[in-house]
Amino acid sequence: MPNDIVLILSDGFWEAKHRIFGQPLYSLIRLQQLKIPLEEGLDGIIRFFRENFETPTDDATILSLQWRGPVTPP
Amino acid sequence: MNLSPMMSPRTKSNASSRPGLSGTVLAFHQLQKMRSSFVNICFISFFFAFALTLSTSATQLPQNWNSEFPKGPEKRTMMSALGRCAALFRAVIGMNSRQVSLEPDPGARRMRQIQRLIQNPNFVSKLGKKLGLEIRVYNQTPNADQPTGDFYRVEELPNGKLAVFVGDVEGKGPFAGALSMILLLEVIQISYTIKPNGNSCRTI
Repeated sequence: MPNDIVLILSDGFWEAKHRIFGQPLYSLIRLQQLKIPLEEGLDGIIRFFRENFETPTDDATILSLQWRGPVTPP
Repeated sequence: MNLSPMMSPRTKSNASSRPGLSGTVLAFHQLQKMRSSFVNICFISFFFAFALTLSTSATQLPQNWNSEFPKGPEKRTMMSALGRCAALFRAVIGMNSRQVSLEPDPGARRMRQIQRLIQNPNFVSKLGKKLGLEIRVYNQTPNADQPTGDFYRVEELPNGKLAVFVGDVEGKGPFAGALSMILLLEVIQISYTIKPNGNSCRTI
């Protein structure tokens, strides 16, 4: 997954999961799928969810993963 | 009741000799001490009753009882599960009991401990960085002092891969937190052997 950001959503984002995937189990999204600029990262996805879906009133978690390449020790 | 800041748990034994405390506070302390002693006596009695039951029932067991007892890996798995149950039991009981302490809410501290176990963004990002992955966490909790059902974890697998997972237990509070802990432990174990099926688990 070069440069792209992968997001994993908890069940708190149930509406987003239902609308995007049609089922609650699947929780993995790539940022490019949602047409969000890559540089916005996690902030972009939070803004996108707030604008398009109901704000979760319960606990909700997003993990964003971006490949940066292996870190060489100093 | 006027509880001064000097009334820390370390100095509570000197509460009766401290001037300036009202009779109500002293009576409250005495009651808490008595309650603590009563709980200890109950626990010791229960332990002896349990040991007695075990010793008497052992005499009625069949001769091959020892051979049916799990051995080797099965025994280790069972003992590990028992250890986890005991730790969980201690955590839950500790959260629900009001110990002999003048802390405003000792349960809240334990809840925060559980919260750190099941949701630790620093640990996740450090482990991800080590393997070249930037991991950021957005976490929304209705109440900071109350564990939620969400948990996440990153595990470094022996084959050099990284397992990342997010889970959710319905509800919130101590029992949702405790259930999350159990699930987290199970998922950590499963992550070493699970095969991605493209639905709930996928290779990125």
